[in-house]
Amino acid sequence: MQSLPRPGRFAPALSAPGRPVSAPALLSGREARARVWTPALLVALALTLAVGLAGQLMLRAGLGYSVPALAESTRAGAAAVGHAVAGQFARARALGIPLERLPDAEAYLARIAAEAPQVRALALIDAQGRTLAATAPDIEGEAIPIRGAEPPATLVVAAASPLFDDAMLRLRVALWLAALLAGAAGGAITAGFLGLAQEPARRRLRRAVERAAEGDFAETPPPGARGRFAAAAEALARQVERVQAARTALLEAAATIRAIDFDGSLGRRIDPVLARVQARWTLPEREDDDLGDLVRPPAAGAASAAPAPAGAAGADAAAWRLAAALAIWAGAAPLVANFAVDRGALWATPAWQPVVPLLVELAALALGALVGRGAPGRSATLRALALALAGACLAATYWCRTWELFVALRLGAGLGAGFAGAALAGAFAPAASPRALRALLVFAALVAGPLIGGLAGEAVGRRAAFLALGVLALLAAPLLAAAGPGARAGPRAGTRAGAAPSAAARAAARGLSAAPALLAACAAAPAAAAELTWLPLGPGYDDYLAGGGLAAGLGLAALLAPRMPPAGVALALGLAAAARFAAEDWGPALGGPPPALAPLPACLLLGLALGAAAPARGGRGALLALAGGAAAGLLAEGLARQLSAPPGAATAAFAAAALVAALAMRPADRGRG
Amino acid sequence: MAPSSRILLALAGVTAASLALVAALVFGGLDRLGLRSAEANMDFLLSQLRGSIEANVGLGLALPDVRVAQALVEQAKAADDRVLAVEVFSPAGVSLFNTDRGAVGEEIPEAWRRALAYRSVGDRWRVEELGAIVVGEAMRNDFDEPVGYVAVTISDAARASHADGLAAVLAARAAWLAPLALVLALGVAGWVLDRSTRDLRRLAAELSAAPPAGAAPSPAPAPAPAPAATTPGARVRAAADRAVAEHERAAADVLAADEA
Repeated sequence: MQSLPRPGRFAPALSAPGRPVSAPALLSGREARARVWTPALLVALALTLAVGLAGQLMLRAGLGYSVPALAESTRAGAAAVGHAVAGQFARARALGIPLERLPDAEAYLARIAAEAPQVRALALIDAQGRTLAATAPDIEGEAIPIRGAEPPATLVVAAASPLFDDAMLRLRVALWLAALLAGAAGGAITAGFLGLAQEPARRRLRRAVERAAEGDFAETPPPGARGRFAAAAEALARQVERVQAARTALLEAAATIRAIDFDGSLGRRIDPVLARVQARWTLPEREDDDLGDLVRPPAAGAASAAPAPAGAAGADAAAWRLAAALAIWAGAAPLVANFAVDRGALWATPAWQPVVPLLVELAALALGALVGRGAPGRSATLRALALALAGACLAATYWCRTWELFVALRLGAGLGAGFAGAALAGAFAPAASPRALRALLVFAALVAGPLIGGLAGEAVGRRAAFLALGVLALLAAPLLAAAGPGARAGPRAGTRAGAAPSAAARAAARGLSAAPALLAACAAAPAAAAELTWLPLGPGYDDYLAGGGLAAGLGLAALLAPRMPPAGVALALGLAAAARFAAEDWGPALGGPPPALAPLPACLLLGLALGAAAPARGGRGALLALAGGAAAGLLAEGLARQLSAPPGAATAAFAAAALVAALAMRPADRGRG
Repeated sequence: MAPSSRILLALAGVTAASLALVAALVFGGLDRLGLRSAEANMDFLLSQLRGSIEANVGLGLALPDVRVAQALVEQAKAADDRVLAVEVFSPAGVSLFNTDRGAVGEEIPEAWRRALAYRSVGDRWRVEELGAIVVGEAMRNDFDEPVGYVAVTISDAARASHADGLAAVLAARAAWLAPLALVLALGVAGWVLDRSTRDLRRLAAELSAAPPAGAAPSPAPAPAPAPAATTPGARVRAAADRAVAEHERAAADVLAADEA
């Protein structure tokens, strides 16, 4: 059998006939790499390079403008220090102490150089040019005369800006992170389009073409609006129309003969002719084809080859909308706890100040989700309003001055996000591939969101980052809430359209039994506590890039986590507890890694445990376990802070609980997820 | 709009938003560097003032009785023209010594109180006010108890001017960088999407190709063996041609039934 035109290196080669078409999925294996991942990687690379290089060129332009001003500021600062120190020497000279006999002058200068960041080195030089005291050999810099010194002497100050190197390193890291984020988003969009939308349509088209070549014109791919797929489908439809026109002419001829066939003899003559044509060529059923005996019933295989339910394409769109909304909402994660702490509270102790807004938001999220998954969630207007509420609450944080108002704003943001999220999630649940969607949503919520928040905070500050995220949500609300085919059909679109829920969807609908649910909750608890409180209040306090980056590291580990036995999850949690203790307690004491990177091992281990323990399929049970775990994690973090427990104590407790869950797990439970 | 056009539009949006983000990162990073550089210049001044006053407090004097503090704050202001004001205030927030002598005895602004309460990093706190930056530090006695605070207010004019100039430079650079970056990103994406749908274009062309001259289907007594079609589009067309020919031949046979 001939195949479609030979694809290019990564042009899609179509799947074998008979492959199910109703469950769009990002494929795996070599075939998928060629069809989906190679183009996605190329686009990701192009965006990363375009944004990264543009960032470096902008940095170069900015440095060209700023460096002279910064150098002058540093020089002026060093000179101010030099004048103050020279004043001290002048005072000693005025008291009659010769400069060469000043005790510990070198130690004094060394202390000044250590205390003043803009001073690299200092030297006291007498009138003959001899160095009386210096913090380094061969110092060059601004010479400041020591007044009243006779014979005259000078203090040489070498200026330096240690801030500059640190700031440049930080800025370059931030720029490349932004470029990588852009690349990841571009690659995800491309992979999603090719894997979730184009591949199923291509399979349907291929099947239609192969059948048409065999004489079965009954299957026609659903017409697209525009584009090459639509053009090919239209061209195929034109060929079918030619045959259809010929058949109409034949039907008319047969009708003419039957009209004058008074004794049935003519009918007996034409029947074999008609039967031969009917047996050889199959055409789509049409209302005007009322000679039913001429048109044979659809082939047995046609039912399985029917186009995917209309909800599938809309379902994919809903998944992408949900991912975008999740990323924007999760962008606030590195900012909430530290913002809450900085507002202070009249009635909450410092230990609970960051936790209460998060718990309120979580509760509101659950409430919003309960409402959104019902009938109200089917309204695009209500979805848009819910997203707008979340956006408005995010944006209004820019003007928020009190902790109580902040709690109220998080309540609103949680309600809106929960409603819209549940409504969009309901639209794709039956149709889409759980594995691909899980990866997409984990990436959006745990990797892209925190990175966006961290980078935005780094770029414009925390308040403006809230404003930017809120405005983005407000602007995107109509787009994200728009009614696609699947969304219009409501939460059970695929089922109502006649498509039987896939095995994956049926599995997703099943609840989790107690032990796996407990394991998932135990893994989610410390991960949520780390993402939402530990990192924002620790390394991410006043350093949103570090907080967002570490949180994204946790998310990345969760995304890439391999399958692990339940005991492995407990072990990872135990190691994470130890790593957190080391980062907060031992590391600084032993001169460990820089504070910003110290929590990374703990974050990676927490992500690993979360990714391995979280059920591979969604469903109410899994979501409840994860949400319950998150709430428990926040409560444990607040309690640990209240009781001044050692770092990692709560994580260790969850590790112990996870071990119990692992031991209690039945063999049947181990295979699920 | 074609699906691939929508994807290109989404990629353009991502690229544009990312470019705005990197521009903001560069601006924010360099602006903050300028600010920290200005603050670092005040570190030494603050340390000197704090050390001198703490030394007097260490002698057993209560902070309000350290009269030399007034001279110290005035000398500090006189020594650096970027310093707008220097102030020493009590833990209760009452100004004790001030380069603006008329303000002695007044309460510190609310913003300072909030910064002291919530924004202290170590013993250091800072507040940005309109046109000025205030950097403060706690002073402690020998028992490590805070006995008061010293605050230096420096002009923000240089920073504001630097920020304006930096924004103009970055905007000028972005004016040609952004289109270039968009062209690069969208060019590659367009090429990739074009490659991924090239077979569809070929299929559409094959399916739409005009039949060879004189090959118009006509009722023929028997189907002539067509040359083997090598591509799916050609095979479909050949199948359609055969189907049309066969239907027309059948129609002719049907009509001929009456004549027989």
